[in-house]
Amino acid sequence: MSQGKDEGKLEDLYLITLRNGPFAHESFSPSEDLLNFLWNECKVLVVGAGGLGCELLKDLALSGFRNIEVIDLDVVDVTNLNRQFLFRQQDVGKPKAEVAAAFIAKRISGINIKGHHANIYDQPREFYKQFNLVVAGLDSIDARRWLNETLIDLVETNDDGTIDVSTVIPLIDGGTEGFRGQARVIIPKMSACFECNLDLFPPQISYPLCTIANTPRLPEHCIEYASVILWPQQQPFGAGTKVDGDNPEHVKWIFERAQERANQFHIQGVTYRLSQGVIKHIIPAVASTNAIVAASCANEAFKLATYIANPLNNYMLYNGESGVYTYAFETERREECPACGRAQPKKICVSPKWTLADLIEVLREDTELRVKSPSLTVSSRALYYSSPASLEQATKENLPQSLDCLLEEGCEIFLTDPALPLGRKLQIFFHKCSKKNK
Amino acid sequence: MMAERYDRQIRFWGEHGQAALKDCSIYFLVVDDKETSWRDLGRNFFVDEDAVFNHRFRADTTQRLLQELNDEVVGYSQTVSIDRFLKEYSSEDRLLPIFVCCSLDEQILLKTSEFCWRHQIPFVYAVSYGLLGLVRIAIPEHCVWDAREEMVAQELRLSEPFEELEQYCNNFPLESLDDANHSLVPYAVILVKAFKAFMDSHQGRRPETREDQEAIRLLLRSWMRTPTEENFMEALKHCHFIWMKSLAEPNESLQSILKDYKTEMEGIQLQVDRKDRNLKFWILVAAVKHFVIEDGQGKLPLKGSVPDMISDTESFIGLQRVYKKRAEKEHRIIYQRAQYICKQVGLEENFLSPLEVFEFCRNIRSIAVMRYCSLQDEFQNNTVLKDALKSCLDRNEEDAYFYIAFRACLQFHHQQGHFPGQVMNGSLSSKEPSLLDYEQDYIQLAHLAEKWCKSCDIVKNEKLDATLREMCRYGGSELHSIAALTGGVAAQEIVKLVTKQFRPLSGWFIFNGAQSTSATVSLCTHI
Repeated sequence: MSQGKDEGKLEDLYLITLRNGPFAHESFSPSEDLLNFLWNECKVLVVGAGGLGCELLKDLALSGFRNIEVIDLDVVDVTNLNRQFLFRQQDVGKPKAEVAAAFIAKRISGINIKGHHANIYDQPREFYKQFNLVVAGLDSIDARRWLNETLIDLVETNDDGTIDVSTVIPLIDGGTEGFRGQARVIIPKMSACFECNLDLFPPQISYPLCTIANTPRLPEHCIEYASVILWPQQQPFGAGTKVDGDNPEHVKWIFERAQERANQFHIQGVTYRLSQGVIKHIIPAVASTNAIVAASCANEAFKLATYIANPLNNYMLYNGESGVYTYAFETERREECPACGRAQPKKICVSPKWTLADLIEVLREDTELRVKSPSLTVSSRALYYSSPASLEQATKENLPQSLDCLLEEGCEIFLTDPALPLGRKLQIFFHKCSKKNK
Repeated sequence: MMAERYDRQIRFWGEHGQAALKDCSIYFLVVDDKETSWRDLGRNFFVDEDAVFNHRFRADTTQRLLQELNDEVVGYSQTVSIDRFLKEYSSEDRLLPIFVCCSLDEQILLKTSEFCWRHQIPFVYAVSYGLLGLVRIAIPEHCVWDAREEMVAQELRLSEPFEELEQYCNNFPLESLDDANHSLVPYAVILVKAFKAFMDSHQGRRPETREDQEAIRLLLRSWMRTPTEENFMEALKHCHFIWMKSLAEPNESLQSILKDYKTEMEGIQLQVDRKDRNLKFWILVAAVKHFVIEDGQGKLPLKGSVPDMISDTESFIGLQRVYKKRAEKEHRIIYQRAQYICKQVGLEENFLSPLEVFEFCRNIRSIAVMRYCSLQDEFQNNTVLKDALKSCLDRNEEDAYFYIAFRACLQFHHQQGHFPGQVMNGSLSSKEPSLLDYEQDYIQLAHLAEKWCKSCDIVKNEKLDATLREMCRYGGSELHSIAALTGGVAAQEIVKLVTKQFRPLSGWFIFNGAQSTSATVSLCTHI
């Protein structure tokens, strides 16, 4: 075979982009411009360099994308090595994004790949703005919500109120758990977004506190007792030190206390692995599901960038537990979606005698908002800022105040939270018998 | 240290699943007789430029780069043709645990699958073709030890309590308990009591009608001390356990497994003589069958686990213990029965370990047997294939047309030496438009497909025509993301075959990457 290097490497991609077929997108026009676009112009961001991220980088690079950046805050851990195939034993402790990018660059010549060892929340709008496509392989719901809203926030409208399509950056999102997974395509402001069907990802279930404290029955109850009740009481690693599931000393402490409690109650099954799983809410992960979901995301990226076929509209479920099953369907845009729709302010009923701290607690428990550290303002007057420390200091005196001293019935307050780049409008109604959950 | 590496998957298929993988995947072997080309570099991540410059074989390069992933595994490569490999293979040297074929050559597919069928080696076929991905599994018989199909209703025998359970329930005199203890009686105990009370007041008749069910609900409500007593709310939520079909007796599919010839003494002896790969499974099924008939009065062994329910610690642990003890007693009887069978057919007494037997008994409601149709039979377009395709098309699973188109492409390739639409001479970068024209190939492919459809009694329609055109467009190309997806599915299925957990694919999996949909053509009888 006397073929040239690049021609040879690209032969399969040429064949599919230079010919039309009945399954091509209606705006597909076969041309070598398509591969040239992939090579020279199209910039892709891969968010997460974990199980999905490693696969995505390889898949995108071999699908003809040549300008790729990857961002991840984590460093390589030994438990990653069963599936995150760009990492080796000697990489343990090094930044994932950098190791992954270096590996791809070494294997695939001519690629332009950059790794960012950084937090996605810390990147400015300009960072995200430079990409044509964003592909996410994240396990955290919070991070995916944040990314979704950030891309929605970048969409601009023309003078006539229509969407300026040049500002729309499609988001392809993958997720896995065991032999199950999903891939979806989100065109911000044009198709259903992550927030439109947040209910597809139910909030984590936790064990009732009274069971943990009084009537433990399962090994999990004993572990929760050690981490939720004993830890704050005894502060075994110094005052204020939080439980770190990646710190073996912390896990060992909890495991041992849980074991003592289990022995006392004759409960069997407390192990180190279970303890770590409960503390970190570990989701089982296998290499094959990551390969399948990432490949499907990369395929959608390729279709979006070339139109060789219709991109997924807009959600594909995968289940490999019994046989192999996929199901593609269209999730619908929610008119009143707080991220991409025309949302009315969320109505919150409170008792006028509650304190501001009570209100914040209720907001933190709200299963739709799912916020951790909200800040609140009312007609641009600060009610409470959770950060930075100086503003927290300045506003915390409001916390014990009753709401009727701070607010007027029916007023609109604005909530901001690190998880929600767009923030949320709330409308406060006073009602004497409003109850807090528990 | 090594356990840490596999932590995230051990959480999924357990230590025993991991042990099964380790036993089998301690080595891998790549067989391929081609040199690495530039084209391979565009398709495969596990080759490098050095291999092209130095004319290295793909098998050697891929083996070397895969080996880097895990030094606990030993990789080998053989740069011989598949014909020679099969000829030289002797099952005496090394038993292949799984065979994966990724060739688009029909003859190689048939040869390798026939070879595996004969040696009882699980055969996995995985290929990608443009935006199409296909996986097929074939093995005469695969036995699933734990399909991991979680029972919605736990098997608690609340309406047929065994002696120890009944005795345990007597420790809870509902009327005389104080309010605090009353609200901590486990719902299992409450329901056993409700069942007994119903029987007592209905001349020993079991609850059957809607009125009976309502009577039990009323009874439960009348026992509540407050309208929100949580354990009684749980009892109300689960009170259908009393009248629904019991999980104690084998269901239809389990009954047919218990009745299979392979559970008869002669059947087992035959498997011993033939070194059948599922011998252990069938001895265990036979042991369970004897238990059901001789010891269990038609009931399966108890699973022995109790779902979490509102209760004080002591009552719950006590309940757990009652179920566990009873289950252990039953599982020990089955172990003895299994040992007896082993002795009868001349096997060592420790052929089965107690742990294996107990694990099997716990999962007895989740076992499955799958018997596949061979590729030989399928490729003669037998009735199994016809029925499978027809049922797909009846369900509007139109991706089944890709199966037909794929078969036609294999046949085209066999006859013409190239795939329809494949660019054979000259380079695409010459921009010579005639290179890309596939009309001639399409006409021939459509002709083949038409003949094929006739032999399978399928009506050739527009949808199939579109599929055939699309296949010509693909021209035998391989796109990495589709190959990766197909490989991922194949890897997953291999894990299932090795761990004997989860139900594997029952025939062909067809992924249509153009529309992100898929279909399964089932070529397997489940029992």
